[in-house]
Amino acid sequence: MDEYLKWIKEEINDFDPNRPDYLLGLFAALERQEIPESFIEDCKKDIEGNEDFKNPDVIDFLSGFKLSKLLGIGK
Amino acid sequence: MEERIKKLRLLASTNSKRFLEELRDLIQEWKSLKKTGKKKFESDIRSLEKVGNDLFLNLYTKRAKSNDNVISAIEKRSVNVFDKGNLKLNTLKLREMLSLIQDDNTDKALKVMDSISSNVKSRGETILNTLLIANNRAKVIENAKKRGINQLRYEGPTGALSRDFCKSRVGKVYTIEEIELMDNQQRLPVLYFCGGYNCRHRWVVVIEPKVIENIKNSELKYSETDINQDTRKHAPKFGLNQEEYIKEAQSVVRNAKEYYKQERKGCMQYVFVGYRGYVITKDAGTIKGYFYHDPKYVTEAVENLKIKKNWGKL
Repeated sequence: MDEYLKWIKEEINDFDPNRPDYLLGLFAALERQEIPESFIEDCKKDIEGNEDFKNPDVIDFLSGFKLSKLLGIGK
Repeated sequence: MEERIKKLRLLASTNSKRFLEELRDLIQEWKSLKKTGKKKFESDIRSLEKVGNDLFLNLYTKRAKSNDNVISAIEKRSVNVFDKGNLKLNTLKLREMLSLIQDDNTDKALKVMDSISSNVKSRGETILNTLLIANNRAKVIENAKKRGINQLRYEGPTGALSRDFCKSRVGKVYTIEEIELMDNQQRLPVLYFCGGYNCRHRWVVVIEPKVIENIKNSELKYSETDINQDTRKHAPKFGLNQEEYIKEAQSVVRNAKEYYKQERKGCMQYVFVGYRGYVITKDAGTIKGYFYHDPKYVTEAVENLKIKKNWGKL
């Protein structure tokens, strides 16, 4: 799972709003995993500072998973 | 001895393997036969020339428990199909064997007998294998017809052992009507026998909608705007260089048995699930991305996406 957390971090830092598919897939893969609090806090900062994550289309696409909720993307 | 000759005649029409074994035993006992026994035996050997034509056809057809459709398809195309397969006892060899027996040369006669047996056996096995495979194909086709499916894909090897007829068709999709018009030049219907005797190819039911079939058959170019980023970000996760990465993505699409649709900005995209990742394409067949997952996680990701993002069946 550590590998997956590393990839999520990379994807968020290198996020392309036209290609959110892989990030969505990573969220879906970790739906039943326990996510460390420190990781959530760390990523939240990156997301808050990135205007692309405020795009309604991106929010709509990435929402629905435990991780998107924890990271504050969508509902 | 009379009893044994009777048994031999019975076996001739019911069980060729035991018949040949029994015949072998009788040849071995030839020297100990009395004159009348020898005469009867000689006439029996001669009569084999007549029974040879349909003896093995009957036997192997029974053993293969042939599907009615297969048999009727054979009959429609060629009643004498098994003659064409040359499944007869070799008359010249039978005569040679008889003359050796008459000369009391039992050892040589047995050698000729063994060559007749092995010839018939290998031809018989070819027919049997061909019928058994045809029966399996018939089940697939009956099942497809019951479900109203009319398209089949030709699948199987494309190596040196394959016939050109098969190689040129592997991977292609045909309707049943199109297949019924095909000719493999062996007088065996292609729907049940594909390339002909001993053919290892098969028909696979195509349940994919046209859009998936079209994508799979398209050139599958990787999107030029995405390939550089993906080579940098995703190809290393697979341990592949750009060329290998594109090839694997294309292979995932072409071989995927699991695929879904997803909507993105009002456009439909298609997801093809592979062993260690999934590929996203546009409907024209351009690859938009090939994303790595651990095999365990790709299954879980897909299951969750199906539920939560309504990844739909097509």
